[in-house]
Amino acid sequence: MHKRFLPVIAIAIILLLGTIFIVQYVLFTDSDVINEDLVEDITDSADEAEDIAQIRKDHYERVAENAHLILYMNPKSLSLRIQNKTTGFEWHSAPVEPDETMNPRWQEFSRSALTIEYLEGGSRRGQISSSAEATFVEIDMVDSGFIANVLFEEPRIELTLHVLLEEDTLTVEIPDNSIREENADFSLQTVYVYPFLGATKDAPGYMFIPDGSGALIRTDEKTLATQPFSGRIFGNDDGISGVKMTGELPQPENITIPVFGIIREQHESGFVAVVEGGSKYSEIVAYPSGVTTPFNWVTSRFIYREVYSKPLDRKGNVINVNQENRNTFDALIRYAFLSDEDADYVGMALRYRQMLLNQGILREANVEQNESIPVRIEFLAAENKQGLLFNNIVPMTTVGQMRSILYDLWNHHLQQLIVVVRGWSQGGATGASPSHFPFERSTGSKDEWLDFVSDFGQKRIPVYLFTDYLAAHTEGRGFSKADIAQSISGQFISYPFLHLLNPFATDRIFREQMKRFKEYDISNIAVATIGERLISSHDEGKISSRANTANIYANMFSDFSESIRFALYNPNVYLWNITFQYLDIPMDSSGFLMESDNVPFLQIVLRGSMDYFGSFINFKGNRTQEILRHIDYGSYPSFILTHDDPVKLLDTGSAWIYTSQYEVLRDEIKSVYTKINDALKYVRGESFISRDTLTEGIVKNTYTNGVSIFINYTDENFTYMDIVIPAQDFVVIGGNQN
Amino acid sequence: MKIKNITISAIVLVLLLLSGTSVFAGVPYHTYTRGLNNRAVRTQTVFEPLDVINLPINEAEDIFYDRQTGILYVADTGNSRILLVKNDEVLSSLGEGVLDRPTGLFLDDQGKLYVADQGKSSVIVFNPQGEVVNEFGRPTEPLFGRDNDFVPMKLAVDKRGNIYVVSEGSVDGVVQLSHRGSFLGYIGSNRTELTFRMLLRRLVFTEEQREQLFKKVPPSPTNITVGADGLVYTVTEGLTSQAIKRLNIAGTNIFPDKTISTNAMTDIAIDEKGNIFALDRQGYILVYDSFGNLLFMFGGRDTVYERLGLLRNPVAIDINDSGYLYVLDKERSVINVYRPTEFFRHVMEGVDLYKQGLYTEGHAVWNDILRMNSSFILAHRAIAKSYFRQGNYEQALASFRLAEDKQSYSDAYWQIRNFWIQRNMSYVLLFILIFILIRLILRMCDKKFGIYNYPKDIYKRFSAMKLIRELRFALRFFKHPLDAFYDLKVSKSASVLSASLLYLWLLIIEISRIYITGFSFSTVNPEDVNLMQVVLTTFVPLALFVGSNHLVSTISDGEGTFKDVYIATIYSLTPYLVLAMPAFIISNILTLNEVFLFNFTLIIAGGWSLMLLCIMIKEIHNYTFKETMRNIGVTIFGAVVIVIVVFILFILSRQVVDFVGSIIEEVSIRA
Repeated sequence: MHKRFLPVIAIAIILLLGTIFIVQYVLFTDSDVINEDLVEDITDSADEAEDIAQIRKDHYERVAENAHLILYMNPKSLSLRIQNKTTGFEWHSAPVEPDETMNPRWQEFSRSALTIEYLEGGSRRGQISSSAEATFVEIDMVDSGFIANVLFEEPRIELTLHVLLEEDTLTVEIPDNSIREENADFSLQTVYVYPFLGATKDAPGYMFIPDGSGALIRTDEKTLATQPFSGRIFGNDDGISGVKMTGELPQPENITIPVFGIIREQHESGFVAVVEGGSKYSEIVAYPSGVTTPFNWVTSRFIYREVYSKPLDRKGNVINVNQENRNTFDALIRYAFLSDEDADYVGMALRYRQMLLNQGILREANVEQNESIPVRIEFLAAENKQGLLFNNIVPMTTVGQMRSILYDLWNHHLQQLIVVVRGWSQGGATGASPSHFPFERSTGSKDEWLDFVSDFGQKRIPVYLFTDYLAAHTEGRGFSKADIAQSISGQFISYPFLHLLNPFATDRIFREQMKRFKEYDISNIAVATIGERLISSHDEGKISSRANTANIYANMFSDFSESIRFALYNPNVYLWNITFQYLDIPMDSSGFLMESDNVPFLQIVLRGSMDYFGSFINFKGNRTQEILRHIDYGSYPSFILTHDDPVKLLDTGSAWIYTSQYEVLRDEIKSVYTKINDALKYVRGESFISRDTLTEGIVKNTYTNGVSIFINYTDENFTYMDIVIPAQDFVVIGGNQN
Repeated sequence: MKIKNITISAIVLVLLLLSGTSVFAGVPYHTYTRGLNNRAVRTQTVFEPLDVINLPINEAEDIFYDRQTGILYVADTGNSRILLVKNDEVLSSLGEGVLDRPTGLFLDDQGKLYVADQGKSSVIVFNPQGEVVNEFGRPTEPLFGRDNDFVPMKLAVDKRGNIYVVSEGSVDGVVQLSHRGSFLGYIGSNRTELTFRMLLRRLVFTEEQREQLFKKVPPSPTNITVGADGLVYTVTEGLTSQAIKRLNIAGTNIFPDKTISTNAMTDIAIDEKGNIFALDRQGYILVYDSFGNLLFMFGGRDTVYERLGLLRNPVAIDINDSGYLYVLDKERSVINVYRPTEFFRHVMEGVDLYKQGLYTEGHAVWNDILRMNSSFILAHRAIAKSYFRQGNYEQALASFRLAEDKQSYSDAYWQIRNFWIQRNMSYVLLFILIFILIRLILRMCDKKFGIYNYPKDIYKRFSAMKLIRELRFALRFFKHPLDAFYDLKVSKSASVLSASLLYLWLLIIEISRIYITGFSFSTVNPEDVNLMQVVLTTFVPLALFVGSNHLVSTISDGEGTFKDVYIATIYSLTPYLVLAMPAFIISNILTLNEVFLFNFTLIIAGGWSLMLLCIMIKEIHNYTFKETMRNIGVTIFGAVVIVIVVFILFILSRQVVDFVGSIIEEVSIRA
């Protein structure tokens, strides 16, 4: 009898334990306490500084002069004064008057040529500025400037600073091979070079930061911001920082060009600075007056090492580790000084544009005058959704339907079409990358697809096939685990649903696929993600630094750019020379509190070399404003279309497309296109000459062929010298129009 | 963020990474609308961040926009004053020296300013010239409550001059004062919400421990306003249901119960058309129409970056006569201004027409809006109503389905059915008549010529087949359940095969329930269904029952074998097996007026089956009544035990699998 009860007793005991466990959990756990990490900086306090009042102009020596600039340098502090011979304006790298409101550390920072941050023993942070006593300086004068050897005594870090004049520019360089870290206990983390060059307190003018399309920070306004601007050029490096979950808010815009600038007195003096060396390892930092210091200053901060988190166990415990090897690059900033009418952000952009033209990164475009503007039409061919047992295909637009949509547009005078097709791969858009082939049958057979591409190609309507070689879907085909990039802490760079591939895998797969495309006579390819993200990867035995990754990308594109035209999405500048169509150009900045204006800096740089298209108008809440913005920035419109109702996409990876049905959008596309075309067809292929804000909401743009376009964003008509610009409308003047 | 009934899918996260979608330019937050199946669907921006007004305020708690003068009043709590702001500039201030901690304010139609002063525990009234004309302290009426404090935090004034005060910590609701300050009563109290955890604690804790916990009292309302309709609206932080209340004159909440809300609502503003703008402490702004339908949700908290439009600590919201929103950010001491977009204005046009019942007039507007976002539920509903009004019931039906409005769908269907019946009734009757006639003729022929003999023969042979006999045996349970059970045990009138087929049929019924049931009656969206899930929910309880019952019965001398229990269980469910499918099929031609029929059938089928199940236990195991009851109880208990054991084993084995898996992963990477 008792034998029978044994199992029952066992079950009862387990049950009892289980109940106790559950009850105790439910009753006694409190809500989670939010943990806040406090990182403390232990900084060196500089020794008592010399009386700064002693640094007066007579301590500055004239070091170099050319037709445009005179360079003065103070050998005690290495501070610079640069005189613009055209305007007579003098730029200072250090504040003229010492500011007692700043603490000693910041005062040192403001007047030093160099400030370095270092780590001692892998954890203790320190910061030293070159004008503090603990440094030792050796200066050699050369023809066009000087070379200074600087030793930071305490951490025993030595480097050489080259400051030279080159026509109307000043270059500031730290060659990589000049950096010596003599004490293994101390490691160099970051370097600031002349951060306060052009800094002002409360003066008219503004600073420029390359946030999105471009943003200005006025220097005569009290800022609402409590934090400075800091943005990594070319975006964050997931290879070092690891995967950062961002939450559901949209991310700020990318920085795609390594440029910043200061204007002192609009149309009088200013400079534009380009980080020519080390742009992949630097961060643009801008402090408006009132944030930490009473000065407005902007500079680029070079990053030699970063601290990253290395996970210890599955529970999420991490340890902070410093990068062992220093990033290798020659840090170089070139300051180009602007005078008179060139001294505004338009002048900055045109100057930068000139540099890119000289370097061959941009070319002057040949476009017929008065040709209609292009419009970008993207199609979503198919998607997939989880079904009862397998994934179901959700076809949205077949090849036949694409044809008829394009014919319809053609017949309504939208003949300059740039077509991009997403979701053409088997299985639809989600999961397509990186293998992409074969074509999705439910949308058309392979022959139908190839005919479609070639037929429209002959009509000079390029059909770009959408691809991605950097972001691979977790259920995608064509890659193995060994292809996924690893961060420096040994983790895979994987987001929910996505992996980032290491550049070697990207390169390999890209080349394979381009060969296939060539076999099929497909010569237009749109490539996503790769233009906007630059990672370093640290797979054992296959380490690729950020610069190396950029090279791999640039090479793989240029090896095929003879036969294939590439459309890229908001690409970083190192890929501009192979970009044929610039898609999804930012039409805004990120809206940081310190930014006072949005400016189309990026657009001014590109206009005249490349067509650039804004993001899909389907999703804009203010159509009229969007149209005016496109006209103002010289951007061409874009739409994403499907034949079927996008309500079918709700459970798919393309749920972000909530309106796209052609039948529904047809009239809108035509009216938006016509409106923008009526303005921009007169300046097709032309560059900007000037952009003036006549008053708030009224903009006047002038182009190289003499045409001016006035845009009125306000709700009231505006009259400018006999010309009436109607509310929420535009007027084109000049050229052969009136 | 917790929103009742809305889940923001993780797919949104992915969108941030799949490039080529910089739809995020400019506005630092996403905007959502309520889409199909209570999903949060992205949509165009409805409000854009326009500006930030920097004010010399400190810990300000409230704002009020006066439509008549265009002046924005700010309760500058930390500086003990009220600021008057117009066109982004401070005009003047008032209340210095008089106020202590003004935390709430409201202007009536005559321009009198009412201030809730938390520091002075009184309501202070200023005339338009800025002079104090009244001060109301703690009501002296005994009805107010002897132990109740009067600490005014927020207030609102209706058209008759009655003052509604939210008093700090008041559990009895909103304090209603007359324009002379006499206490009129409490209205609009909240209810406590009981959670499972609290229930458990109440059961298990001792007296002392219970004292230690916070007394679970209903939260007092967080904020209050009076709408254009003259009704009082309150909003309460911490409630998951009825967070927004609209109080009628009697003080009862007449706001729709099913309204979607968050549990951190901190203020509410109503525009002239009765649309509601609610502010969530985490930085979200929710827009409702006057019926309580959630139209939009946007905004976010400014944590990492400082971007225009994101909020740090929003405490108050108001709307001006051009439709611009003002949000007071207490931490930053600024007022964020948001401007409505074209899209929003268009939607509001449609909403207004809908509210007035002008469905046909609004049709074009709503079509436009569907063009902007084809998942916009309210658009579908408005268009459906327009079709209905025009008598276009077919279209209305389709649109109501998209709008997920079961009641209206049923109404439209009623019309269609009615119409069909009216048109076709005569034909149907004719058809039946002819059918009867034919049957009569055929029967006469059979008598004479025996034409039915051949089919009857086949039918006999078919019925004689063992499996068919066993399946037909199930029908015996309708009339003679006791005998049938006996037959089951003794004469083997059913087999494992027939029972398994019936289990399969049960599964088919459950799957059909999801796909076949008429829209008005369906409870589940076919899109959301996972085949695996259905299989599990159908078979796991049955398996547990059969298994547990067998185990328990074996121990307590039950006579039934496992096979017996297996077979008998499914045969006991015969009523459900027989009645369910027809019910689902017929539901397609029923309207909600006949919901009784549908429910009744299912209840009968279910209840009868359950009864048979109990009888089954008694008969199969040959128990007495008492033993049967005991057996049922222990069976249920046994099932629970099995679940717990399996659960624990599952967790343990998962640990082992994880461990082994991570070792393998390490090895494969290093290799």
